[in-house]
Amino acid sequence: MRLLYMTPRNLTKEQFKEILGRYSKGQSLPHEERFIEQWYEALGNESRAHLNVEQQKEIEDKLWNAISLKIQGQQKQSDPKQVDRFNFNYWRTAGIAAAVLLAFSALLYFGLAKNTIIDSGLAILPDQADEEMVSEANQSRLVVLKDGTRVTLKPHSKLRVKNFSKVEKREVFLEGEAFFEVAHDKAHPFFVYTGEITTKVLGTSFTINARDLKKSIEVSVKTGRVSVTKTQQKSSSPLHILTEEIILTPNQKAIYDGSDVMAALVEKPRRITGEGNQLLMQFDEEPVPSILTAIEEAYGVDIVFDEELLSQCLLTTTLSDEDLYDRLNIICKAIHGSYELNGTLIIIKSKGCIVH
Amino acid sequence: MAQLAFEDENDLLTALRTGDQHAFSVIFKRYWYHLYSLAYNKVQSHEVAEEIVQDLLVTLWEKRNVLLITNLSHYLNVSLKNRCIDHIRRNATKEKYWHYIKSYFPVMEVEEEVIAHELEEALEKGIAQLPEKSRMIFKLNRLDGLSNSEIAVRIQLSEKSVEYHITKSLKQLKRYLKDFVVSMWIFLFSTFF
Repeated sequence: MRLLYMTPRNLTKEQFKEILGRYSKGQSLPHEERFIEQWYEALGNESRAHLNVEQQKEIEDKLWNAISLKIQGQQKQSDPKQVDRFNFNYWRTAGIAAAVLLAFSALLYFGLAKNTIIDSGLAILPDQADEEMVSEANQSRLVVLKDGTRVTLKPHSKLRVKNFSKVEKREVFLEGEAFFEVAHDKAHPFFVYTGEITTKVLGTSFTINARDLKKSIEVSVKTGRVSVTKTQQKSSSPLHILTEEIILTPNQKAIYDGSDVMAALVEKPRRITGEGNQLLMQFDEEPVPSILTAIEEAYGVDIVFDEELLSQCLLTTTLSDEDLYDRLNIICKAIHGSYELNGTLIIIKSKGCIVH
Repeated sequence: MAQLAFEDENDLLTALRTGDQHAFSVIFKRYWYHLYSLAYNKVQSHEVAEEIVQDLLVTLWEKRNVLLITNLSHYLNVSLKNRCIDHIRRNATKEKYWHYIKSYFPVMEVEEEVIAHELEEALEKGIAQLPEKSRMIFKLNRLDGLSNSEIAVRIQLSEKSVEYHITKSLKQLKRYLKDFVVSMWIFLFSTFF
């Protein structure tokens, strides 16, 4: 009884897709079924979601809201007499108030030669009763869309809205700058196309700035998040096929260099927790690691540092400046160290404090 | 109105079936995180994991009267798996995803006998899928060894018709087995080199 070792080294994507298709329909060949079962079992086992308690709560609320909304919608349809709201108040309500400030600068709008996808949405899509709104050169203009979304077009901007009825996605095309307050509808995600960059709304309100030649998208998020992707378009088809996706959280921005989208920290990260009076952070002989952790939480950033080394550094200081980098400078000075930025990470280098 | 604790899963399911919203919210609270992290592990995206869990639970509510669930946990897990696999299938052709998928291909140990048995099975299945008349004629010819003329007499058809049925059956069988052979070849290729 010989044992064979089977593993498909040269399996193509298309073949794998077919095998999965057969599996879904229960029409797998026996060895294929074995293969898929083992593969799925092992899939993604090294990765863990790594969510802290706050993030878990946020997602829990978000999910529950979305679910209740969908079900409410159906309750109304099938049971108009059953008025009571669907246990909406079971947990903390109001959903996630996402004041997303998104400043977005795209280049394609100005027609860079190497890309044929210029003004992709606006020029190529077939007309299905799309609406176009334009604002004056010196005035903002408020537009309310059919789904309730409010768009404040800043001066000298243009918005094109695809017909929202009977489509899966809500899509708009922007030239210039605008502030969006998107009406909640999880069943119909909201997309903003600005040249080669697509912004998918995961929060409720944000600003997109697509004026400058600088290729960067900035998101200043209070709570909630934004998904940014590079739109890829097949030459003649009006379909937008999304490729890699970056989710931006508070104080992060996405940079588009013409081929890739990368995440980094914004120029001036702002505090995302605590208002006005809580700007002050006072420390009395506090070990530096806990100071850094407090800063991480206040600004929603990731700081990499040698905990053991820095735990020997005790600082007495008052941080009153709103600016993240100013605060880091103060700390680094005290520990005879420096910081550097790597993508969205802040890395602290120091020789420690046991010197005399 | 006191809200019950729902210790027993059966009570929970029964309540759900009657449209008890509280029961549904208990189910959500109990399972959402498990389902979400499972989905995340498989599809590697928070966004997609959310969507999947959302759709799964909404469907559970929508079909509460129709689904006969005896084991809630099993139902949820299987349903989740199907949805995850569906998502992966639709996105398998994306480069980044493909690398991820590939890295988990297992090496399977299979006894040679098993493969031979599977071929036999595949052949049987293929024959079973032939239309009745064609199948009968095919079997008479290939398994019982009767000639075309003998078969023609037996079932009162012209020889030409018999020929036609056999040709048609062979074509269909070839197509059916081709999937098997191609797939098998893909899997076995590496063992010979």
